[in-house]
Amino acid sequence: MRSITRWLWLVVGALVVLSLADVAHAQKKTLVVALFQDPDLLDPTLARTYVGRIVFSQICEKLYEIDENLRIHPQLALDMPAITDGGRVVTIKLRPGVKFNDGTPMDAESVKFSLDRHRTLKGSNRASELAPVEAVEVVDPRTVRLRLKAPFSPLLAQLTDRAGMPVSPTAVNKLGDKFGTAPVCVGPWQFVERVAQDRIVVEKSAHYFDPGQAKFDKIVFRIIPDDNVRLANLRSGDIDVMHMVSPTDATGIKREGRFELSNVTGLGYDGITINLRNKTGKLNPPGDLGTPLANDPRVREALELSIDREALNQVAWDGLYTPGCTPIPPISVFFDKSRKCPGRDVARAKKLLADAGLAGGYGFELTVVNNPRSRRVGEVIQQMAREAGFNITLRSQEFASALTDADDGKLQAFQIGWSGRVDPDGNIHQIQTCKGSLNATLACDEKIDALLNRAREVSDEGQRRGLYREAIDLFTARRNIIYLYHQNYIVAFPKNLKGYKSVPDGLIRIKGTSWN
Amino acid sequence: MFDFLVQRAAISVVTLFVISMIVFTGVRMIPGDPARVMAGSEADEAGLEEVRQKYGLGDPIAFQYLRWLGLAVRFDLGESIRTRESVVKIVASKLPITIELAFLSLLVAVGIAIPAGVLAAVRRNTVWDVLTSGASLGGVSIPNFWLGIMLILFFSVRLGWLPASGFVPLWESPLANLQRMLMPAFVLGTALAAVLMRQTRNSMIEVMSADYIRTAYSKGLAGRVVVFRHAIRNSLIPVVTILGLQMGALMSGAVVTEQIFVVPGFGRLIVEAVFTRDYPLVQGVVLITASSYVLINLLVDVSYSLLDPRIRVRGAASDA
Amino acid sequence: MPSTAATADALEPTRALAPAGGLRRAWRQARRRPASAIGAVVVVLFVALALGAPWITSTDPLQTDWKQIRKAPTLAHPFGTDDLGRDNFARVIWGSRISMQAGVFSILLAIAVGVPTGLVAGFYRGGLDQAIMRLTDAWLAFPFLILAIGLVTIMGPSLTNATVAIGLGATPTFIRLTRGLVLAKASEDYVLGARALGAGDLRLMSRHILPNIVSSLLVQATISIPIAVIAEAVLSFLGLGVQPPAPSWGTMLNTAQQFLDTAPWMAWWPGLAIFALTLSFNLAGDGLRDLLDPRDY
Repeated sequence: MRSITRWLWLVVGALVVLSLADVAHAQKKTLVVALFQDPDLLDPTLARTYVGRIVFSQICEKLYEIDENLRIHPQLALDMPAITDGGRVVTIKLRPGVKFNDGTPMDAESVKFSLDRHRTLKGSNRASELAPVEAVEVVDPRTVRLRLKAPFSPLLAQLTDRAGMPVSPTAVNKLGDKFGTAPVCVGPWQFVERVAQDRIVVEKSAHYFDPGQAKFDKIVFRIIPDDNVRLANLRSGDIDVMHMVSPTDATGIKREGRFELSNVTGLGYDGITINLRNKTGKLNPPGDLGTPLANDPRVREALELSIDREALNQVAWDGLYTPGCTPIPPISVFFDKSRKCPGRDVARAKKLLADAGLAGGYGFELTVVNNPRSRRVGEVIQQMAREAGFNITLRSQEFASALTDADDGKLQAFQIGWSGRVDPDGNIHQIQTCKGSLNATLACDEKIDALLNRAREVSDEGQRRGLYREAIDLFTARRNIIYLYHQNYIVAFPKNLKGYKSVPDGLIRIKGTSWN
Repeated sequence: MFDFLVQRAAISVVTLFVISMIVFTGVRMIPGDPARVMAGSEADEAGLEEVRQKYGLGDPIAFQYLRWLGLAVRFDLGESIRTRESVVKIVASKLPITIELAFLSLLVAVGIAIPAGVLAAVRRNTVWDVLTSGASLGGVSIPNFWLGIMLILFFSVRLGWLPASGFVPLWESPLANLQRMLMPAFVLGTALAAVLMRQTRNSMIEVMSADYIRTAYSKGLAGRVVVFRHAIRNSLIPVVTILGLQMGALMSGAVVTEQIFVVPGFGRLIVEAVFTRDYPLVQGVVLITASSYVLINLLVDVSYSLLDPRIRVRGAASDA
Repeated sequence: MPSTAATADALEPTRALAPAGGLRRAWRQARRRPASAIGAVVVVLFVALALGAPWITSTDPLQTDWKQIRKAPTLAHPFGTDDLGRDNFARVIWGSRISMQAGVFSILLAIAVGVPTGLVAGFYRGGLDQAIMRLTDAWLAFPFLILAIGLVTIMGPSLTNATVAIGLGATPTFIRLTRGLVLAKASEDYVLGARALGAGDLRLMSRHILPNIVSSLLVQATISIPIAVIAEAVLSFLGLGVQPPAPSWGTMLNTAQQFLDTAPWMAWWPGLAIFALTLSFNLAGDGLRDLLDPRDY
């Protein structure tokens, strides 16, 4: 019996030692950021994930950048571009003395190389973003010129994201399509290593042209998909910056008072995408789906009228997101301030269903992404619509396969959002035009196409605003997408982290931040 | 004994083949066009065709299987679709983590179960017996993920004694590593301990009533000597069997425990891979997991012969 | 030291053949092992709960109430409310249906597939046996959960598919067990005798061997069912099982995770329910094992 008691004390002792000892965590000089998802390829040309853009924010700067008010200013470019020939020629002067993080110089040749790679590499996900660009020329070692097929006002906005990120030709030539495993661009920090689904480590670059802005020697991105665990890590100090704070946690964190919260309305939208004519795949000809939901606009209107956007925001998001009914974010200059979102009207919804011959009720399947938050939104919608006579069956599916199914025309309705782009064209064109590459509903209206195409060509703000207003009127009446809200980006960090700026794209920018 | 081992090894190889076939076809039954996943949502028909050509997705399935197998035996399991990293490299980086977690869980389990089981057997029908039986039943019945969440809530958030999650490699800082592995190992270990405890107790009881034990007592040997020198060794065989079976489960990296404690091991890897339709990764990881299971069972058989000389001579009745 | 009780038990088996004696023996066993008796009672309770859900609680488990979100337990809502204002008590009660369904039916499937296969393998031996055993080995080598996840991903998430997936995952255990038992029984005298009297294979398998292995199968079932219940909870936890808004304990735990700090009652009750159900199955199973096979203390 005595040996057992001794044993027990040993175990207790070990536990005490373990819990007291702390790692000599180089905490002050290393910043730990928690992401909710593992990025895919860290190759600006091939990357597709939102979280990837957060990593890029530290290691891959771009020609132009946006600020908190969604205004565009030059970053790696020297100043705003010169636009000539009716908008068909865009000349960009580059900032001098800039080096890639492998020491090679960033000049017009390398920028041309990068832009061409984004445009033409097989499998490039930037190709459609730069589609209007016909050719890129080197004017002199510090100037590039883009020739466009037609005027394209969103071009500048495209260059504030991955399409505008120069990559080191030396590194590309060395690694080929494995560039994403060790990317080299221009940035205050440079890529060091990555452990799949665990962490991405970047460290201060010796080649950046403004080293004073990088106050941390190292940044470690930890991948923690679970909200709870992420929060627990924030509270215990194991991570410094928490990305994607859920609204319910945000309320709790604010009450605690230990952390600072940044809450900004994002650039994207969330809503219900309804399949109208996609029968066998979005690349195939459209077909008749034969359902009231797809064929009868009154049914879709009834669905929209059964939903109370304000209540949805309150119940699902603790009121911290932003209800909306268009794809343009409130912060954008193109946002239509005069538009009022329809309120809930169950009586009218019931009448519309009756008019459509569905007085006894109508059921359809709504696919939601397989995570607790999306499911909750789905359940709220399900409940609200039930009162108007809809019997919605929820089907939760993982993101990747749901997207594929949507493209294949297998879904009736899909509760999904779009992360959002700086220019409204990025939120609308490819999704609502007849031949748009992201148009999975195969809804098609020549009038909308004409309006949206014109909106990309003209550059006058007022004119564009008007065109978008008209187009939005049309496709919100068609309701192939019922826009419900704009997701807010909530980030939590310690109170002594100074200099954090909340940009509406929701990306975490460490440059310029430091400890108090 | 040698014949016996050769026979077991041969059977293991056949099993591995069957596993590889099941994995290969199984993965292809998951809905969704793999070419589409690999080419990306922006690809058109031409792009899809290219991908099909490149990966030979249009060939007859037997052909694809043989090609994959041919590469697999040369330790080339392809690339992850998502990150283009070599599957072998990803597995190699996760394997030590899962092995460490499995090993620590095993330590916890054995450390709790064997002393408790022996105690319960030796002090049958006393309060010790009831306590251990109760604890064992509780351990088997409690949902893993619930226990994990409760532990985090209590020890990390409320008390701040242990870090909530994550992983620090052992060579970087053994202390930090152990701090973070303690709770997940505990969760997994207690579940395993619960099972082991019953088995230890039962086989100890059976052994203790055997003739040779009574002889040892009547020879005048002290109780402790009887228990430790004779009883335990012989009662370990069924325990070892179960350990072998459970190690297989541990090696698959208790999926949910890893999720909750953010341990970047196999469990998380495979769930993510299935969710993102990363076929090469799914194939590779499942193959390796299943193979390690087969290997462990082979080792268990070997250890049989070491523990029980009768088996050495007769050959294990493990097929029965 | 073998107790006299055990010796007395060793004399009992012959009495078990008479049903009345069996019942009386069961009562005696129940008194001697109160834990198992309690376990059995709780299992029956849960079954009653599952079957009688509509009469036990009149509250609709799906009824949301925006004004009652995440409220602590009160008289009106004894287990509190969840993130959409639904009554947790009703959800836990109705959730027992899903857990019982998944737990029991999946194992029934495993038995329906596994036992005949094991019978055939053990009875005929030879090449067929080897083939079946290799397949079973490979099947077993797949981590149970991974197999279930894979199957549900192929078939699509739903309670039925999750049940089938779990059942298929549990099948190899029953194949192995049945085969082992058949191997042992097939060489016993009463079987050989029956064969000598001219009984055919099917008759031998169904009339002579099967009844004698039923008890062991039953014991295995009581071990497997709790595992299946937890497996369903895990699948629902991962979003692969029952679809919202159906009240599966696993889904409830998944949702509750987000609110551990602000609404811990959302996690306690479903977790406790799973725990109680599995614990009672295990206890009852223990008792059953003692009842049917007294040698195994």
